Amino acid sequence: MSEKKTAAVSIDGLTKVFRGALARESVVAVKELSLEVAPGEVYGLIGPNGSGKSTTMKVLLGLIRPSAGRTAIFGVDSTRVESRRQVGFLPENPYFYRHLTGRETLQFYGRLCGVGRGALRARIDELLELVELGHAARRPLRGYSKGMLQRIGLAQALVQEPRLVVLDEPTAGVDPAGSRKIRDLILELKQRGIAVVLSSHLLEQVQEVCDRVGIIFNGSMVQEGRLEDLISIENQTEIILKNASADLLERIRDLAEGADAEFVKMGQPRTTLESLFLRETEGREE
Amino acid sequence: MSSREADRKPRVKPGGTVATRRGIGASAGRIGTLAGTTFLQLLRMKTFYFLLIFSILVVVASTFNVLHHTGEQHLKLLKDVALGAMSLFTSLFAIVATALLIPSDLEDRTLQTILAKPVPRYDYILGKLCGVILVVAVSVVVMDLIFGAVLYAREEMMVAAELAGATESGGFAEEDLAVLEERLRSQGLNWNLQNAVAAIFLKSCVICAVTMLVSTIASTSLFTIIVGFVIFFIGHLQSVARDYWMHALDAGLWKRLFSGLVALIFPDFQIFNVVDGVVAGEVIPLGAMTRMAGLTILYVMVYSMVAYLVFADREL
Amino acid sequence: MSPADNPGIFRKNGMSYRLRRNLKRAAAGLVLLVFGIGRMSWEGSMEEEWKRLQLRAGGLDLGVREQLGQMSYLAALGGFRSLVASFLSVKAFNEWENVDWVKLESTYGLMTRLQPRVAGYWEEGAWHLAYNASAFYLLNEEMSPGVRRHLGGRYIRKGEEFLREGIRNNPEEYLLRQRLAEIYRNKFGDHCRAADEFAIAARLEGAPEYCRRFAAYEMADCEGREWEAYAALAGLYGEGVRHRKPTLLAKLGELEEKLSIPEAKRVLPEKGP
Ligand SMILES: Nc1ncnc2c1ncn2[C@@H]1O[C@H](COP(=O)(O)OP(=O)(O)O)[C@@H](O)[C@H]1O
Ligand SMILES: [Mg+2]
Repeated sequence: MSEKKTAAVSIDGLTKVFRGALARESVVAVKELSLEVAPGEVYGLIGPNGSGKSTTMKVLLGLIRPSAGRTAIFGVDSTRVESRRQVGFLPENPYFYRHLTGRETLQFYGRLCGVGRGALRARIDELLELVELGHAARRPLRGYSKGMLQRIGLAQALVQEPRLVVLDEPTAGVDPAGSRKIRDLILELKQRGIAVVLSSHLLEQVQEVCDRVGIIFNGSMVQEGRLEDLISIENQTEIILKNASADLLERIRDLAEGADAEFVKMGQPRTTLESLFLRETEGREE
Repeated sequence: MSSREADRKPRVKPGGTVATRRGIGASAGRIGTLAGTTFLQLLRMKTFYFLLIFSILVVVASTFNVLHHTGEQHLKLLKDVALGAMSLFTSLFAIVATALLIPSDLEDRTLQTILAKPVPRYDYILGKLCGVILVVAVSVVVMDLIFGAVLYAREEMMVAAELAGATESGGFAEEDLAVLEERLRSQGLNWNLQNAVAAIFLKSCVICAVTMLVSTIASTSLFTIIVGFVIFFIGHLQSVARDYWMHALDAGLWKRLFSGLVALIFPDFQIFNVVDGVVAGEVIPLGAMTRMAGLTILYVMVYSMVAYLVFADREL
Repeated sequence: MSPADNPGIFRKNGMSYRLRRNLKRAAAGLVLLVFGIGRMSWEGSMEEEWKRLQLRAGGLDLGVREQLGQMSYLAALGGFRSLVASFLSVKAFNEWENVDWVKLESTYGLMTRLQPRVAGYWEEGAWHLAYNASAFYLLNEEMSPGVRRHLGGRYIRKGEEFLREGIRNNPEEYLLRQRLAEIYRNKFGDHCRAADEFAIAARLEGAPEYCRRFAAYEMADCEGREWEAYAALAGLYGEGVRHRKPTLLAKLGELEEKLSIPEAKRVLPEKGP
């Protein structure tokens, strides 16, 4: 059992063609896509709407069949039911049984995974705490907000302690605070050594959590690599100082010019609108 | 649980086909979980309102004696209305409730979250089917209890009234009164009526299974319901087609082939229509009920299997 | 199952998923057809058994369909025969109230064709024809005596026929025999045939004991069977006090006189002076 070496996700030459019924044209949703995700790694699949992210994930989870190529989870082909033992999935805009309460929902999915009664109870308490839904556990999902649904969905994905979670647009349509919570959760999973594959159409949303990203466009991979490598401007360096006097800044500028480096820009860094929002609303919600 | 999980893992056969053979118990647990949730879902969807309508109908039918009917006729009418309504309501409920299940899971993407767990698709289908059959069973039991209670009350009232009337008009000996009472009671509550109720339930099981099969192909509940009704309707005439295929040897080839195909594909619901006979007082022997139950199990098994074959590769 | 011992971690199977899917669909169709063929004869034999158990009444011919109307016909086909018949009985009641004998007769014809095994329908229909309809004509002051007798007699015969048809469908039902005997007794004054029908009724399952007495009473009034009747009445008398009804005692006394049974041999105790 050399599972340490086995990739959490392997996708090999995946092509998916949706054959149009009757007069409709066929759609090539994914074209010759290959990628690997190591155990414990956080991988981001970035691309505009309709580029084939959800389709790739569905093939990976055995929900649809590939037209060509293969996918596997921890070395088990996705078309086999047991490939789903080690994976949790949160679909795009998930809906669960609205008549069930948060706790019942987790119970339901836990039992589907064959988690025993006692272990399940402890696991559910732990998960509810993790996703901060303990207060809503006894309410039916009917009354949950979008962010709460995403979080119960995340808990659901984690219920059998999988070694991989697949999250399709986990932050789409969620307000910044909710989005922040979800990203914190992803970082938490990373801490625990759980591999994560997530998709997003917004690069900024994933850049702080992903170890590696793949940029997918029209069903094909256009760029893949470590996040820093992809977005750093290689011949530039950023220096951020606190409480620097005007005099010091002047000396740095002179130093730079004296050493044949081009001085590009100096000024006060801007906070992002998002962090401003978060700072201002911190502690005010709920 | 982790120990159970652990000793499962190594048994995944390399390159093996659907290696879900291990842990049939676990599979039964999954089906049970799915069935329980389905049961709860239908329960909370307030689909049980039709039971209220049924009770009202039965109670109203039981007060129909303004018609100056004899006691016997009165009890027959009550049985006709109650068993007729039970049969119709149960069948319609079976179609509609089953048709709601898979399409709504599909639409809500709940199905994706379920099948993204280690849940084989046949477990999912069987779980849903068991859930809806459970709901149907509970409703049949409730209707049976209501019907039984009302029939018993009416029977007692009619016996008392007729005996009082007879004693009053005089000229009836003890013996005559006993005969009168016995005839009246033969139309009242008896065990044979339960055979009719059981047949109604068995028929609904077949309806559930065939509707489930339709819903694995269809993409909306409405379509499933419509096709379900069509099958329900043709299923009642199916025996005509079978007769034609088997006996009308001189008919045209195409006509015979067509009727043969209808007889092959559609279930035969007439087999389950024993209410008429039972109300008329015919006793159904245990052997006949056993055959009916056997046929039902076969129908449910075959339709579930076909439903699985259709559903196995469905894109979600 | 690790990549080491299974280098292609993916399923090694040349078949494309589309081909597999199509194969599964073909298998689904095949299973349905094979099941259809398999159950065809089984269901056919069950249908036969149902007919034998009288669970399935005969087919509904075109005449029934026209009389019933589309909706009721469909309902009757769909397993609601009994209910349709029950509603027809409500309709029949209205027709009786409106003294519409023609319609009433056809409604009962329909009810009994839908449910030939419900003896109550035969019994009631015959009663309407032989008693109510016939009396309606026999007592009709507006008609000439000849017409009255003709029409009244006709409805009595209709009632008799109706019961005979009912007996053909329910040979084990004593009540229909009893009613037939009563028509012979009350309407035709035919004590011999009434005696025969009562006797048959008495032998059927569930028949009350009075059927035997009635058979003997009628026989006593049947010309030429007095000795037979006397034996029957004496037998009943001897069987127990429960048979010693006033009518029985009276008939016995009459016959003892009529047949001039010697005092010593008489069954009845000597009356006091
Ligand atoms: N079931 C389907 N039938 C036909 N076309 C589909 C289906 N699902 C997705 N597509 C098409 O495949 C392409 C990729 O879709 P998707 O994977 O959902 O993109 P993304 O998740 O990146 O937004 C789109 O053009 C979409 O219209
Ligand atoms: Mg998507």
